[in-house]
Amino acid sequence: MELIIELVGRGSRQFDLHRVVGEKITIGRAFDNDVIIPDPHMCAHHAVLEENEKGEILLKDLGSINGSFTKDHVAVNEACVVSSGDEFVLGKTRIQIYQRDHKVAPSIRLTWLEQLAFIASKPSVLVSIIAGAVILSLFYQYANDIKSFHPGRYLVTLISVLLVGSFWPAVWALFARMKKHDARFVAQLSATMLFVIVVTLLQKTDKWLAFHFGTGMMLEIFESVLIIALAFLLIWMNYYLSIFQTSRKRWIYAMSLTAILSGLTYMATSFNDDRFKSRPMYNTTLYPPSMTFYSGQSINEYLRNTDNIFDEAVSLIDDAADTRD
Amino acid sequence: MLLSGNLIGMPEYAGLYFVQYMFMKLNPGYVNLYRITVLCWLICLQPLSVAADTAQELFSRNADYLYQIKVIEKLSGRKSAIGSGFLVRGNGLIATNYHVISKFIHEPDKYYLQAISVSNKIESVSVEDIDVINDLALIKFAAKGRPFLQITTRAMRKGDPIYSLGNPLDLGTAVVPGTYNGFTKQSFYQRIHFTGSINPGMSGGPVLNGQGQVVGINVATAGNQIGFLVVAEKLIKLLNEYDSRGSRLMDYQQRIHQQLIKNQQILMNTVLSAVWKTSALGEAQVLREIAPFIPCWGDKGHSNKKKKKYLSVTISCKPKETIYIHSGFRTGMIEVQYNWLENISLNSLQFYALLEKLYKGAGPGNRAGEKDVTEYACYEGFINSPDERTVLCSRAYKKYQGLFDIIYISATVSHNDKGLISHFTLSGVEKPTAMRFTRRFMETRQWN
Repeated sequence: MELIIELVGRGSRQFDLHRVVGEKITIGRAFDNDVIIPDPHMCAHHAVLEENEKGEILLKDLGSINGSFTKDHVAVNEACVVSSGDEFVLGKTRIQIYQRDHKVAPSIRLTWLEQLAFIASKPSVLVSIIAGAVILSLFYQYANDIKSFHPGRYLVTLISVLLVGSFWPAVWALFARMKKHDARFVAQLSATMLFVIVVTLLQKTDKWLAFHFGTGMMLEIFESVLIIALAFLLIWMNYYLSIFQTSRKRWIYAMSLTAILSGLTYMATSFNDDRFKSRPMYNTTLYPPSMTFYSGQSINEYLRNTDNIFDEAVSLIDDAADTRD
Repeated sequence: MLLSGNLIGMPEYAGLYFVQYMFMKLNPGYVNLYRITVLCWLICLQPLSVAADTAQELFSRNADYLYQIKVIEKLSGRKSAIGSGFLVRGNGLIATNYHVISKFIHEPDKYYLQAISVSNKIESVSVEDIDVINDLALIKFAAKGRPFLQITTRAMRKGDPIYSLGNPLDLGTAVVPGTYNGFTKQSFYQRIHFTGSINPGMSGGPVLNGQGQVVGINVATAGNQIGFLVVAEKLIKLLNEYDSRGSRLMDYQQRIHQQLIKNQQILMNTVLSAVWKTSALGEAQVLREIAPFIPCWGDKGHSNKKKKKYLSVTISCKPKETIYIHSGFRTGMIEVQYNWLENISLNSLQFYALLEKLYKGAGPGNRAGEKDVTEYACYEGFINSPDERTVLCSRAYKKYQGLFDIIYISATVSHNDKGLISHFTLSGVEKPTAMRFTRRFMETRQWN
């Protein structure tokens, strides 16, 4: 008789696999067993697997304290016929018993994603992505620095970028470890930093577009949608890197988390929107001439276009009256 | 961007508000003025050691005409604002300041008014008329044949002794001898400049000449013995209007509305009919004082005393006074401000970050809250020659239809290391005048 005995952890993760050959296969905590399981709730000689005359495999409980049970919590008293793939609980340990000819699941093809993850895990890639993020944030700080140069301020930026940027991947790595998977911190860090770079560039581009074409509703929506899509992509990748899931499940999980996070962000910003603003809201960015292209209006044209703001202001009176009561 | 005037003193003494000289942003030294005001205020509380014979006599002769005005909050039954007033007619008509009773005007359901005589007789009074521009109000209790104070418009000379009466800080009726110093210069809402200490609570009290005739009404102080009085002529005008109408005022808000509309027409016409002169600021030509009552101040600054990274020159023009509508709402002012910036050692991105910092700071010149005005609606765009990024915003008055506050700010975007920020605010103006002002402002400024 040759059997494969799999010890199954919580969350259906296998953590040990034994292939045992013999007339009798004993299971227990004692060292003279064929399958030794260090579970304190298990007896020294807990159960035994035997073959009967008909060639059936039987699981017998050897009068253990905590007993043996089938998957459906039915106690195994004297003996119980085992068919390949059956699951039992001995003490607190779950085992699955297979015949050697039991069919295994079809193998999962390695996707381009895994290659991407592999590339992202390379130290050289990680270093260049982090360098990109750091250079970007230092550059923007430098471009806005109108005080005398002080290296200390830049060091603070550098450290905060690294600390804040590592927090998110660290959470995912921890999550993966909890699920007994590889942490893959480096790949997570690369993905996060890349996200930060892309979002920053997107926002700066958006600001530049708004400077030229006005802060319209369209642009705002476009920016929000794009950022949410990028966030989804990052979270999807985070899930991919941290745990094994079916593709369907990963989509649902990533979408839910994205929805929750963007919903919270939206709520936080709209909460502030409710307050009365005594200062005008306008686009305050300015660019040096080399970075801009625009066709200016004449004073006449400009003034004709401002005509609306009076009616718009008056229309706000009614709005306010409606919301007050 | 510019600072607005603040009420100084204890809030319950809305009886008198301080005119604050508002150049703190430009001239940090002026911040001290605030402290000086408070300091003087304490000194002024000391008993006056010098009491002129005339003052004694005037006081004993005229004390009967004086009243303390109280705005009482209905629910608590406690005073919410106090001031002074005096009889101007035998039928119980009392003159006081509009700002003394402004709480009642805006929320007549929440407050009621009382006039208390020197002999502690409490009269309940009604509002007969108001003049929000000159800060006057006429209130009345039922009476007949009372003696009252005469008002004179006779010309006076600087240095003439005059006597301010009132009830400072609710301490009891007091007389303050002082000096007439002519009309305030550089002022649109003209006042008499009084040298003598008037304090919160005295607002609305009469100021008498040696003959016991009213020459002005206490209204404000700038601290350091500088007081301001409403010119007696304005009170005569209000009394004449009241007489010709023959009935008491029913709709306070409508009256304020009319007065604001009329005043902004006069104000804007005065400003727009004047010749606007320009002078150089850096390489640009900018406006000089557009009106004598909007004086300009200048300041020059660097980023750092040792390592000069850029040069910044500011011209800021702001009137000394505003129209008081209620404690959270002022109007009737015009502000103009320019910043000239020259780069020394910044790169062009940094220089534009500096320009951005000044460009984004535009805020209202007047104080106003959610109940008074809407939020701003803005239009942004580019202007050519000179190339500028420009934004014009307006907010509408909720109770006074047709009036707006305007903010304009523009930044040049044509040079890598020179820049001009131009900014103005208008408060309480109608659309056509606002647009005329904006056009003229934009057309005057030149820089190539």
